Amino acid sequence: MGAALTIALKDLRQRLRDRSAIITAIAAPLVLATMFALLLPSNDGGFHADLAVVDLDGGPVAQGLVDGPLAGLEAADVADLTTVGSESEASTLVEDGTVDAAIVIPAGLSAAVSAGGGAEITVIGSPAAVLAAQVARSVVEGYANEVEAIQLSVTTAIQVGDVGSDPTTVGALAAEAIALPAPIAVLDEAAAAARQASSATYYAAAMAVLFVFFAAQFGVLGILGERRNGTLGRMLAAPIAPATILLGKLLVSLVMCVVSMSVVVTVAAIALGADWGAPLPLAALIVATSISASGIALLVVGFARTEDQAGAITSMVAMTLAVLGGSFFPLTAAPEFLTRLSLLTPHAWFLSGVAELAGGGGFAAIAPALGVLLAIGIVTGGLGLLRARAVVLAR
Amino acid sequence: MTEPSLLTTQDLRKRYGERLAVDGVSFHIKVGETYGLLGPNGAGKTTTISMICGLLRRDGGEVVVDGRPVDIGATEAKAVIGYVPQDLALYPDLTARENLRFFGRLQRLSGRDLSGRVDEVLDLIGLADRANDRVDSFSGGMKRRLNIGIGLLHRPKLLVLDEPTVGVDPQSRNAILTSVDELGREGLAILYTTHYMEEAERLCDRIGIIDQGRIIAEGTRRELVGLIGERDRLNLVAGGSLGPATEALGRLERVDEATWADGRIELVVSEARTLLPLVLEVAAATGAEVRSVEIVEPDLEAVFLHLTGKALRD
Repeated sequence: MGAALTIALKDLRQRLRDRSAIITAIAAPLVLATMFALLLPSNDGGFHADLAVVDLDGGPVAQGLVDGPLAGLEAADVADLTTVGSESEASTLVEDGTVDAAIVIPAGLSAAVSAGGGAEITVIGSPAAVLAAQVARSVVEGYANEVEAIQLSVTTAIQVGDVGSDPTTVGALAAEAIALPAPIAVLDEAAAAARQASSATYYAAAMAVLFVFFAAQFGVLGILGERRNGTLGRMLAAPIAPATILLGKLLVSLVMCVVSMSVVVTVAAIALGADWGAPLPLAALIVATSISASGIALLVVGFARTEDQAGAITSMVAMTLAVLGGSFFPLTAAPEFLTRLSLLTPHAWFLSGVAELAGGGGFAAIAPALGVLLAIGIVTGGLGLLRARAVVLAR
Repeated sequence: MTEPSLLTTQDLRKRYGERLAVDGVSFHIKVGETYGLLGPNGAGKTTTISMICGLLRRDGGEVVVDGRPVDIGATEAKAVIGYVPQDLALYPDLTARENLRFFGRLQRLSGRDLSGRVDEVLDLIGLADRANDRVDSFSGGMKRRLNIGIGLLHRPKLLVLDEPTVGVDPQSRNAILTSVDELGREGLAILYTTHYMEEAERLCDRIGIIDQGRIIAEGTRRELVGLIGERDRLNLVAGGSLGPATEALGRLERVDEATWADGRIELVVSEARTLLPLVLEVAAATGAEVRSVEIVEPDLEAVFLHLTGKALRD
């Protein structure tokens, strides 16, 4: 470990003298985050939507939606609800921007559900408020899933003969079930979907996670530099194991990543008013993201022959992951397949973790993000170590 | 009692694809001995050294240094070796002192021992006054000296120098050779690779001639020269009647061959320097007017040419 530390300290000394590292790892993400935060529409103060509700049903199922999840959004100050009488009136309100989205509950919904059938609830969204429509849709989908689950349990009860198949009995049972507290916290789900960091926080986080991949290369790419420089052979001739050299380089990547992200986070909080939530979970998120970025960078080095080649591959990987992961635009506005694809990127998990923390969450809220980020780091880093060891020994 | 071997290599082999770069190389170096690996570029010198220093996996054979087998992970054996690579292996953006301290730490030096040893080496290589200057401000010769100094930091028992004078100006080259000579006389065992015959002759107690991955001859300079009969050449540039003179010279004892052509008599003799007065006397007596004399004694270049049919620099 002592020799790895010696190698890491030597590299860090060199990086401090090399201003390009400071520009890439710290200055560039700060400048871009500031530009994004200043130039793009702001939603500082947290997400808020104005929703119109058209209840053409008036039955218990419709009432369950209005009094349940939708009332919950209002209580959480995520949305203001306006009740309107018709779909056309709701459309007009959406079109003229009075509300961000409208939810239209069709007539006969409760009866259809009670009879074991289905009906369509319409969400009218405005292109100017995509996120609000997304939230409304998410709430309705959550409730629809809930109703479907209740229907399923009722159907099951009929099949096993616990109750009669009299439609009146079934309808009453369904109404009773709907009135019960939901087994799944629809309100929490809706609130989570609505949770989004402010512009400053979002873009500072997005740029921090984008550039952390460039910061990571300053450590592990050094393996190829040492080989070109001839110093790798000299290190191998010293009484240290080849793995020690890799460990030293990996340490440099980790330190560069953590420092880069920490500086961006700190400056964004002071200068841009970014809200990062609780500091300890944020620190854990930064370390996990740094491990993830360092692992991927090491894997890239394992497949490259030269520093230039590794740099080009790193840039390509970093930009692709950034686009997929939501560093350039929020994934709430993206198609569903892209949202799913984004889950393969460290960027999406870091950004979702930041959103959780900005929304008041703690370690429990970011546990999935931490888990995935560490898993990405361990898997790619492990493969990278195997490949990079071959690079070290290939002379 | 003979000195024990500090380095023993036995049947070293390394293959790159279809090419056998090192093919059964075996030799040993005793404590305090300077051993030269002499051969042209591509003969397998650097590959052999890389396996000896544990930088390269070998396909076969064995390396033992100071009683310890050498491999890539053999840290104790590596601690005994000081490696000086052919190409400069320095950090140009660090100072000379920073370079020495970094590699010193990797060689397990620390604290006062490290600081003291760094100062000693800086004095030894004549860079004490430039210790805190960045290496990228150094001349080529200064970089070469630092490159060697790093290999000496941890007081190795075996110093391995891989063509340390390639691309060096004559003055720096001479300084390097003098330093290596002094280190050898101080009792350090040295493995020195070169394709310069004169360096091997000047520095090495024993020499292994390597070509196409194999050691084709080994011994002291005298032993190697003996392989080709140890005969000198005496060339006379002369006027007058060269035919009778050549015939008379050919009849002398210790003259094995005598030929003449184009105003030049060529003799293959034993101990040319002692025979020269008699040769001049006979030449004058038989009508040859000698204008100049050239004595060519066999060297390692001739040995290499004799053994391989090609010149060292081919």
